Amino acid sequence: MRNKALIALLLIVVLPVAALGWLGLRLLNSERQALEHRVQALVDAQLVAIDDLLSAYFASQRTALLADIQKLPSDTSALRAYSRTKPLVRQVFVMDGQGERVHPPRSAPLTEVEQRFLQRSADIWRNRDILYQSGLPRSDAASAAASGTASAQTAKADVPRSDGWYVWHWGTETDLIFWQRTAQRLIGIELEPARVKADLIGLLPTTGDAEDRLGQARIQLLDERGAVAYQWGAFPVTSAKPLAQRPLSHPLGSWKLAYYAPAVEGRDNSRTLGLASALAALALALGALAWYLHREQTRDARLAAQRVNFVNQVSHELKTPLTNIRMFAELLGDQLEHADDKPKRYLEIIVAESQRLSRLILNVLNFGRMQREALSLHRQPGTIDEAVATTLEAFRPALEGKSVAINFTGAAPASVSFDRDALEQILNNLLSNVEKYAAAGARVDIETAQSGELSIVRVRDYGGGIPKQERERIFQAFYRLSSKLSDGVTGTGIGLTIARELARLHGGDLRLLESESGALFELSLTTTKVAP
Amino acid sequence: MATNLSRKLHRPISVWTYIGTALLALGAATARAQPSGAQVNLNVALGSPVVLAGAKQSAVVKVSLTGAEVKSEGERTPVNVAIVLDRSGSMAGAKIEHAKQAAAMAVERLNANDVAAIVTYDDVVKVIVPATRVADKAVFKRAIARIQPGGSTALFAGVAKGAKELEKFLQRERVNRVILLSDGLANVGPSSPDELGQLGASLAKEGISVSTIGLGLGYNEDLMTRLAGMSDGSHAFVEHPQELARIFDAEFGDVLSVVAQEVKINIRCADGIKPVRVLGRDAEIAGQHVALNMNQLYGAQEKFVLLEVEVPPGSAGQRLEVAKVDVAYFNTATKQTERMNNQVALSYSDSQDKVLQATNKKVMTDTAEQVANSISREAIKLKDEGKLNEARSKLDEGAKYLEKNAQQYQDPKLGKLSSEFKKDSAVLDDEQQWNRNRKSIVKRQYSTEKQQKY
Repeated sequence: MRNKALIALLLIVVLPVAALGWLGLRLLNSERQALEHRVQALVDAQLVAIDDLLSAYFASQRTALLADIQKLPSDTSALRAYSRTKPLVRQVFVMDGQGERVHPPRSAPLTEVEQRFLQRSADIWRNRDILYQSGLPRSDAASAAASGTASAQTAKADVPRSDGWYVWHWGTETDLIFWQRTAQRLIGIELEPARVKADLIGLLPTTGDAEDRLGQARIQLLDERGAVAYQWGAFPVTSAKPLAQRPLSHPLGSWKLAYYAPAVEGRDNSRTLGLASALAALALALGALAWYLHREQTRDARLAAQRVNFVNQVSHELKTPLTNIRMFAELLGDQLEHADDKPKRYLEIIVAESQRLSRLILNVLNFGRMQREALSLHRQPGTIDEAVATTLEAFRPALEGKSVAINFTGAAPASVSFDRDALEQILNNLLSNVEKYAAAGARVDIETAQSGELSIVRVRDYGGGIPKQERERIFQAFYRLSSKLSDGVTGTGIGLTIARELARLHGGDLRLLESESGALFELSLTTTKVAP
Repeated sequence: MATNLSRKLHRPISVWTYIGTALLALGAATARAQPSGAQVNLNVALGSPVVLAGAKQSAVVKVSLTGAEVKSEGERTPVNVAIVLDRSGSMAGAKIEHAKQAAAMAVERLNANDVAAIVTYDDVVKVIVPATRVADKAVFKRAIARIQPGGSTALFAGVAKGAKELEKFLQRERVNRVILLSDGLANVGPSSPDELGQLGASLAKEGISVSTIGLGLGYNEDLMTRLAGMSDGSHAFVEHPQELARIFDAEFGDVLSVVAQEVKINIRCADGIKPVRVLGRDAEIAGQHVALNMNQLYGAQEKFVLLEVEVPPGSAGQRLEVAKVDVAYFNTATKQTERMNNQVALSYSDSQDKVLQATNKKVMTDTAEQVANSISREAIKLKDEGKLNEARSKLDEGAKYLEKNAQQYQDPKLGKLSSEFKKDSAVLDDEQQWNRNRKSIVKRQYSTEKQQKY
């Protein structure tokens, strides 16, 4: 019962907290997803803008290179001078209409630089078609090149491309070739890879300048090997995954941009914290409420326990004077054997009341001992019937005073070893209950029986009886039947508890049996036979 | 190759020592042709204007360019400079403090005609002062004072952004220069010496030079020299931060003394003369034609090109045209492109004495220095490959070669260099000090190649 109450109280606290916590987390989660989505869109837009910037660079280079090519003659010294003076140009090559090499020259001696170029561009000389295959279809390239030349080119969209970018990877570098072909010749311009990188770096924002609106984020430009070519923004990149990645447009399609920022989780840490503290506050409030309820619920029991505790102490003090009162009252009774009826009757009342008080004190003291697990038995030889008869005799005046007839059927005459005091106390409790609650039945039946090691005592009254649902509870300490029954009746609420405890200590039990009317208690005790 | 050349060069000399009588060199030509008051003095000479008849042999043509002295502050060429400072974590402490002082001091030497930018880099690049006329020096100094170290080394991006700043004021009338200071390995972005070399070469085409200053022992000297070399800038190895001020001073001294830019040298070898290679500098050799560029010439400083050629056998008394040299440069004083040309010829003789008499000591010692330099380069390469003994014998060979030439031409400079080689050879196996020694050797090689004054 105690545990059930605890579990119930615990549930009162845990369930709402868990439910609210779950709802809160869901809310937070969906909010975070929405935020992530917004951030993602923003980041993507930023990366697209950067990609556009870099595409524009290649578009403008294309325009510039086309203009250069227009003016470029096919003669060796002019071509050499061109690649010697153009910062972005590493090498120029020219093929004639038949695909024959015009520059670097076939007949004249080559420079070292030109020899190296021929080595690394061997594929192109083997098959110049690879130049045209790489890259985007004409129309895409034209739209990427947002310059004025675009319209002229879209007009002849079906014509094979006349210029474009060719990309290939040479060692660790991305090599770019811009080519243009006419019926007469094909000119290719190999760009200086380091210069392309430097130019791109030059276009991109520096950290902390006016164009750097990144704040606490970082964008990395990664080359085809995934190595950082350039980065900006104040956020120091750890090993974390980027928030977004985007490959660059042609011709640097093998490069990509990566956006890093503190994780979104990091940003709403405070919100999670807020939720957690709200839940904690709720749990605290509910806990306090539960504790209050628990206190209220157990208040009666606690008060009774306190009372018993007090009475327990007082009883110790009362026991000795009461014993003296009884002893001298009984002595006085003997002296007054032949005196008038009136004083004799008074004396009987004194004895009976003091006996009652003794029982009460014994109950309280035993209960106190039981709480300390210090109850013990003192078995002595005797007969059950005789012990029962003695107790009944003691109760006779009180019961008869309430017009209750005692009906004793003894069938346990054997001499056995048992604790007489315990048996008397159990019977005292049962009988005083009859006196208190079942006097209206006007009759009490007491039967004893014996079989083997077991002695049985049944006490049956014909009073109001005990409702079914209360049958177990009456054995709980400080439990008393509803006020209807306890009206005008006093008691401590520990009698049956002690009676059952003593019976169990005695190897038996005290149970309430089914009966047609009134209450039927069955006491069983383990008793060993002894020689009389 | 260098060994072959050195053998060819000193073989006749060993014969000459047995010849007692001296004869005058007659046919040899050391040509000098200058318009008066020019910014640049062109001098074309042969190491051995008279050669022995009857045999094919090697000769060296020296094309020497000397800038006129800049006499006053008012005459000097305005500069457009980007100071690119490494502020990576390893710069913390004395390094960054001295670097800041040196940068502030450098700004102090500029005036309102000059343009400067300050760029710093760690993981990322910051342009702390965009390219601005140096009218208010306090702006620069405040920005420099605020530099804090921390992070990695995005060297390539630092240089790229520095160059981007220069492009805002890029003019041929200005000295356009990036001054890069780094104490560590490039670890963000492109980081190979090749890539930095490419960048340098590309910037050089725009007239931008990159001077590189390696600070401490953590930087990659190959990367720094390639970047400087391909862009015709300077290179310095600064072991201790307190030397930074001096190096910045020297670098700015050079930058502020530029008298000519876009120097284009064309050498056309006469028929029968075969150009073999240019010692120490990158040149384009195509057939009879040799072309190379220098970004600038400094006042009162000589820069030269040594072209090794193969001379056909001839008969005594024959005179042979060797090469025609054309030089075009942009005169920063007159703001005009000026041209000069010159030519050089040799004559054949039967007399060893005559040959000896005619020998141009300066050309021969310069050649010996460059030859030894390439020996030193090979030695470092061998050492890098783990071939310690071969590297050592290479250096010993170089030391011997220098010593011989020092005696031959009574040149104390070569003698000194010879003892440097011996020292290099001795410390080759000192692994603990190797990093430091390598940086110092590479720096010396660089200075020799580029005739750098500091």
